[in-house]
Amino acid sequence: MTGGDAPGRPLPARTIGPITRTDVVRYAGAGGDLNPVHHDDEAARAAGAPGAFAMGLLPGGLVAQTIAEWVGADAIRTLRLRFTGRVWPGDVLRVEGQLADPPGGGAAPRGERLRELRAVARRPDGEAVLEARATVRASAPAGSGD
Amino acid sequence: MAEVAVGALLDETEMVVERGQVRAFARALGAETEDPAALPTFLVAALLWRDEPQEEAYRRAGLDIARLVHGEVAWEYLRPLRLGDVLTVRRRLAARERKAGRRGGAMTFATIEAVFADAAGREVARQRDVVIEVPA
Repeated sequence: MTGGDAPGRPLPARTIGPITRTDVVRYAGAGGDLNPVHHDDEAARAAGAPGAFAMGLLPGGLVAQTIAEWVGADAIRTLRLRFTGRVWPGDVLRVEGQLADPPGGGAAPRGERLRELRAVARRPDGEAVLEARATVRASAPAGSGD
Repeated sequence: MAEVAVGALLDETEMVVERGQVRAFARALGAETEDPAALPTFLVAALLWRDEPQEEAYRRAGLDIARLVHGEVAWEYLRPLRLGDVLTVRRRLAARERKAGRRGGAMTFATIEAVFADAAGREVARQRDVVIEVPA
C-alpha cells in the first residue's frame, strides 16, 4: 500500500453554497457564459423553466475546486462532470467523494500510478445534481512500494 | 448558414492565459489564486475570446441554444496551464444524433470536442462537451 490513499478511501465531505444569483452573474462574467436562462427569469420561463438556474459549470467548477483541495490540482489527469439536475439560486450542496483503484490497475502512459476519484454533489433533499469522475496521480511515485 | 457535417471544424479561437482573467475566474469559484493550473475548469473561459456570440457556433452545429441542456463536460490535461500561454482552440462537432423525445418532438445529442494547443503547436488539453437539444 502507498499509505494515505487506500482503495475506496472516503474523502472529507464539503458543503458548497448557498449559490446566489450574484454568484451566477459573477461566474457568467468570469467564464463567458451569457446564456440568459442563467440570469434572466423571463428567458428561463420562455425556455420552459420556472426561473433562472445556474449554469452546470458553476457547481461543476466548485466541485472541481473541491477535488483540487482533496488531491492537489496538479495530480488531476482527467476530469468528467455530468450534470444530472438543475441548481437553483439558494441551493446548498453537499459534496462527497472517494478514491479507489481504477479498473485495469492504474497503469498510465507516463508511468504514473493512477487512482480513480468519484464525487457526487447533492441537494439537501438527496437529489444528485452533479457527478464527477477523475483520474488522479497516486500520491506516491510509481514503483515506490506496494 | 447551413448546418455543418459531423467532423467539421466549428471555430478556431486564440486564447491568452492572462493573470486578471485567471484571478476573476478563481474568485467566481471562491478561490484565491493567480495560477491557472490550480483551476481545473479554467479552459471554459475560452468563451471570452471568441469573436462571435456563443449561439453562432451552436447554430452551425444545427443546435438552438435556447433549447440546449449541458449534459456533461470532460477534460484531459496534458500539461499544466501557465500564465502567458497563448493557446489555439479548435472545436469540432464530433457527433450528432437525433432521437424521438419521450413526449414527442426530436431530441438531438451532440458532442463537441476542443483541442487546446500552445504556441509551439503542442497539445495542452482536450475538452469534450455533450449537449442535448430538447424539443420546443
